[in-house]
Amino acid sequence: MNSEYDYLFKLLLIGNSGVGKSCLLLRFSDDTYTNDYISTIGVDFKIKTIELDGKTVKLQIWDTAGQERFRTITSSYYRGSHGIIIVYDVTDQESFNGVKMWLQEIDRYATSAVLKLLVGNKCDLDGKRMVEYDVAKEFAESNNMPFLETSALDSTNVEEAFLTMARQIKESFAQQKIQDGSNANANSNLQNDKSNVNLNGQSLTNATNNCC
Amino acid sequence: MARKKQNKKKKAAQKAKEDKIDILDEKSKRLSESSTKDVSDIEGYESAEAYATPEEIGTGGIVDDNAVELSVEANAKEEAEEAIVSEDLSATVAVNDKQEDKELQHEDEGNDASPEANAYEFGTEANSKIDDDTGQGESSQNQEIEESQHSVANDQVARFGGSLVEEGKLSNEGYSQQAERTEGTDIAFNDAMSINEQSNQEEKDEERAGKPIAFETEVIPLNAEESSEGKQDIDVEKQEVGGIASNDDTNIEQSPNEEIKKNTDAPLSGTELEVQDEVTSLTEQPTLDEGEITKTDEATTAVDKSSAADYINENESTEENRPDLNADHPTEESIVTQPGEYTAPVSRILPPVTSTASSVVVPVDAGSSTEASEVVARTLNINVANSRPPPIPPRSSSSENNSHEVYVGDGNDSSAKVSPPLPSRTSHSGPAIPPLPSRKVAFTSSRSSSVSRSISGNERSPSETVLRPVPPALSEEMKSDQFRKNLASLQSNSQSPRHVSSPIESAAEVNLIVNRFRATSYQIDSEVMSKRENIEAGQILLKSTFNTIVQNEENIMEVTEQDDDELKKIADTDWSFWTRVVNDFGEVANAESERLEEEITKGIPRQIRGIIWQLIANSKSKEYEDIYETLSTTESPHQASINRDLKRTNFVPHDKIEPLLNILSTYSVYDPDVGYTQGMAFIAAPLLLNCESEADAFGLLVVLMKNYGLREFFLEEMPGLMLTLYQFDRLLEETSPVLFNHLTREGVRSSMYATQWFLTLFAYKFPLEFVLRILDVVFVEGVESTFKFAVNLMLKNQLQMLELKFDQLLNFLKNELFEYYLRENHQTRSKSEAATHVYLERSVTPRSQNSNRVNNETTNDSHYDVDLFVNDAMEAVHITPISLGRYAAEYDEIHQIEHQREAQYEAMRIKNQQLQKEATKLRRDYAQLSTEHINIANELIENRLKIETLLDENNDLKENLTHLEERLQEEIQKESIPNPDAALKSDLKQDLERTMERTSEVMEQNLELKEKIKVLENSILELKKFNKKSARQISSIESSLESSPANLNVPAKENQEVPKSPSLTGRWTGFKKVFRKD
Repeated sequence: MNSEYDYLFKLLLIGNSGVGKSCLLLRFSDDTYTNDYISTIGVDFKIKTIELDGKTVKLQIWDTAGQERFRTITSSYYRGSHGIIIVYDVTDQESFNGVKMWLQEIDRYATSAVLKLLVGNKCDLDGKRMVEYDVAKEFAESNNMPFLETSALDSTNVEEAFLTMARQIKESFAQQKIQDGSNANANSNLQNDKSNVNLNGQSLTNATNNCC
Repeated sequence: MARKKQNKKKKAAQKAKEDKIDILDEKSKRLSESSTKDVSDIEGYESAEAYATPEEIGTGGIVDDNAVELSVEANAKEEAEEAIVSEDLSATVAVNDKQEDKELQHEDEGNDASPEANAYEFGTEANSKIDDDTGQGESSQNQEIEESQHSVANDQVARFGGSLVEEGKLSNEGYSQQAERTEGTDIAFNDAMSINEQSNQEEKDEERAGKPIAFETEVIPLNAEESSEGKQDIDVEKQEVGGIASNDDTNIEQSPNEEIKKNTDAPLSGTELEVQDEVTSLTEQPTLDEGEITKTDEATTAVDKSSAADYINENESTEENRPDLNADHPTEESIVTQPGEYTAPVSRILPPVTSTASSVVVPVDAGSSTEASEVVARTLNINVANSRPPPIPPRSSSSENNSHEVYVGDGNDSSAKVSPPLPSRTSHSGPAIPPLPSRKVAFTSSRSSSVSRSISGNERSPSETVLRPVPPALSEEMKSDQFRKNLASLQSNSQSPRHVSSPIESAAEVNLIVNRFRATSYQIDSEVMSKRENIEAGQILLKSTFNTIVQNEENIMEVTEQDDDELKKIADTDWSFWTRVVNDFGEVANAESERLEEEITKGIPRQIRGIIWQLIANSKSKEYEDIYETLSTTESPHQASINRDLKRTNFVPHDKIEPLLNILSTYSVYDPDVGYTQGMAFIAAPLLLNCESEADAFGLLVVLMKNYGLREFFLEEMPGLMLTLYQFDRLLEETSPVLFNHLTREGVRSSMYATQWFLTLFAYKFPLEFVLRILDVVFVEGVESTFKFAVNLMLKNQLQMLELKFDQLLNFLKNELFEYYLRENHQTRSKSEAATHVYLERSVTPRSQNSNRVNNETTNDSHYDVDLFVNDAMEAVHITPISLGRYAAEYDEIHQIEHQREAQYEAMRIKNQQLQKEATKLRRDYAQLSTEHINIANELIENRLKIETLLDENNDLKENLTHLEERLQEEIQKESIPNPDAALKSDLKQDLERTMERTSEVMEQNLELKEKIKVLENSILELKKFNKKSARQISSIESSLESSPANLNVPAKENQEVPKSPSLTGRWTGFKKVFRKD
């Protein structure tokens, strides 16, 4: 198992119904596209293994039903995931408005360390665009997440989206390691500081003693 | 033997009394011997009571006498054995208990006037005993022992019954006394009621509830005995006891003894012996009764009570001996089951079964027993009793007891009357209990609960007695209010938990078909009249269309040759059956449910599928059509999402998308709570494909949703789905623990793959032909039947799945599960397995009226062996509403706990967030503080450095200061000794300056003076000139003035000299002064 890959990242696709989560996933995992994709019932699941900076990363991607009613089922998949991709439809303002709600869902069900990515799908339909790139970009930045516009139809940025996510997770993994190390360092530094201060204080008292 | 006959003929009460007394004495002796010291009193009491009661009793002695004899003999032997067995204590306890029971019973009996009532009481008591036994046997270990006890109890009961019967004979002098019995039952009822009221003032309600039922149950044994000759019954029982199936009285008498011997000889410990003893004692009492008929009842009742008590005691006492008993009892049972076996043996056997089966089986029995009691009251127990034993669903042990009793009683009758299969079943049923309860049993029994109550109440009393190894004199205790209160409270306590069985559950005892049908008809019954009429009208419509279709088919049959597969299929179709279904589905569902299941498994003929669906579901109604008419025009708030979902799919033919859309949007308006949920389209589509109109499909959808409970799946939170998933998990766990474990270990949860199955009734990914067949079953058996398909699929693919890992598993579960039924796959498999599956070759020529989709499907369908699929599912997986109900209850519990946990989690999460916020804030503060701290520290350092420098400066200055001070001192010292040089120097300077100034002054003065000199020289020159002039003048004047005054000459001279002299001298002196100083 472990020899097959260096990392296993669990990703979750959420977003309003009909924004193209399944298509996105299908494009990414199988590089295909169907116009008449059936609505997802419950959850679906795909695996894709990618190379990232010389490491083999296995992505376990859960595709969820977008309808609110299914949240009872989908919500249990938040907790285990490392990264969550929130998808909206650039031609559908409503779906973009829903992103806020999805963020709340993440807050509620996912771990706090989970990484997020905002994806505006169907960017090939530029003529019907309802959500401007800049607006979404700003929104994403205000929520501390990267943003991409994709098209499952012409596969624009699809790969990038998942790679971005994966890279983010990998970095956070690495960072965590470093942080774990640096935390210790920081602590020791802090202690050194303190000891310095103490020494100084001592010297001060010594000086004053001398003085006196 | 001889005694018996004599008693019968002569009815010599006195003799009997004497015998009895003797026996009692013996018994008491024995008891005293066996029992510990304290017990002796009780025993005495017992004996006394026994005396009192028997004296009064007249009838019922014949059989009893024999029994007594037997018992006496047994007693002797037993005593010996008892001595060996060291369970005296238990025995004593038992005695005590008996006494108490007796007392109680006596009180009740005192009120009872009619012997019949007593007889009934007998039954009840016996029941109660049995109940008690079972109750005690709840612990699985005890169960076997209990079984033995049961058997004993049964024997006792039988004997009692026999005695009663005899009494009846005495009174009526005839064997057939049904009328009397019924009357007696009624009387008993009344009596019991009165007794209850009178005796149990405190316990009133509870006892009433319990006792009447008990009476009812009592009736059963009586009937049984009545039907079969009382004597014979008794004999038979004795035979059973003895294990020898001899019909002769003598044999019987002997046999008991033998049996006892056997028992005693067998490792069975004293408890058994005790039991037997008790039995004997019971029998003994009856013998005494012979003298007085009127009082016999009481005596018998007393005996019963005592026996019951003994029973209980035995059970308790036997606990110690269980292992041995267990070993022995099986043999007993085996012996018991013989040719015309009564249900009694069965009952014996059953207890162990139940024990093994654990608690599962019981509840049904309770219900059945109650029903049985009712039935018995009408003298129709047999069938019920027979039918009951098989089901034995486990729930409350107490109920079990009842059932046993019932069996015992019925046993005699049933053996004769029961249809062949049943007895055999019962005889063998012990080990293997059929899962499904018989249908006759399943009445909705509100009484079952009451029965269980009574049982429980009875149960309790023994336990209570057990608690007191050395009770006070029974009579006293009985009289005390406290005791009654305790008893009442115990009963009441025991009652509440037993309340398990609800009408729904009892209805659920049936199979899914009947269950479903009941639910549907209940639904219809609860409808308003107008609605019902609408439905009926719809039914009629459907029937007519059905008829036309059938005629059509028949015409085709007649016209064409049967070379076509399709036509063969049509020919194979049992049109008459379907006609019957159409004409009276209720009848078919109830009476021919197995046949119906068969046909459904084969699939509803394509031509009439839609009609049959609508018929079964009762969905055709003007009402739905009207609703559809009115609502289909209103815009649904879900229109957009429905459109989106349907527009992007092509799983239905294009010409059906619009109608499907209409149906779904109409439904979303009709049922706003559900609205539109993804997945509904998959259910509606096949409905639509099989209905003539949208309204029909809509009606079917509504019925599926509302009546079939599918609605729960689509509500907010999807409670139905969650429950179903849980039930599925449990079913899978039960049917294939290996697979379940594998899936669990791999982290595959049923929600990952089964959600779509249940939410769409398998329509999500399964081929349409599968779906239609599944729907066939669903309409007949309810949504629960989907479990069959789901579990079957899992089982069939089990081997394959066991080798898969998480990813592959999910993929397999989602996409390849039904490929098991790919025709090719299956044929290869079946070849390899050499399996002999009968394929119902299905033809797949598309029908003209069907849609494209169906056409496609049918062609695709040829790849799959759908018949096998359905067949397997129906056969491989048996699902009962009971188990589902149990799972549902489990789920509710779990769900609740989860809910709580979630709430807790939520609360903690919120708290955590707050704390985290606080923590970050604190961290920030801390960081700030630390930077501040560092700044301050740096400042401090700088300052300290400054201080250092300042200190240095300070030191320097101090040094300077001291230096200066020193110098100052020196100076001061110097000043005190003046220094000439210093003074001189300064003077010199000053002098020099002064001199310099002086010189400059002098120089200036010099210059002035020079000028003055020049001026003066000039003036001198002038003066000289003047002088010369003047001299000449003077000379001239002198010459002239020689004579004139000298004055003039003198002043002039003086003037000349005066200016010169001061200036010259001044200058000169000045110089002198300057130089003189240097």
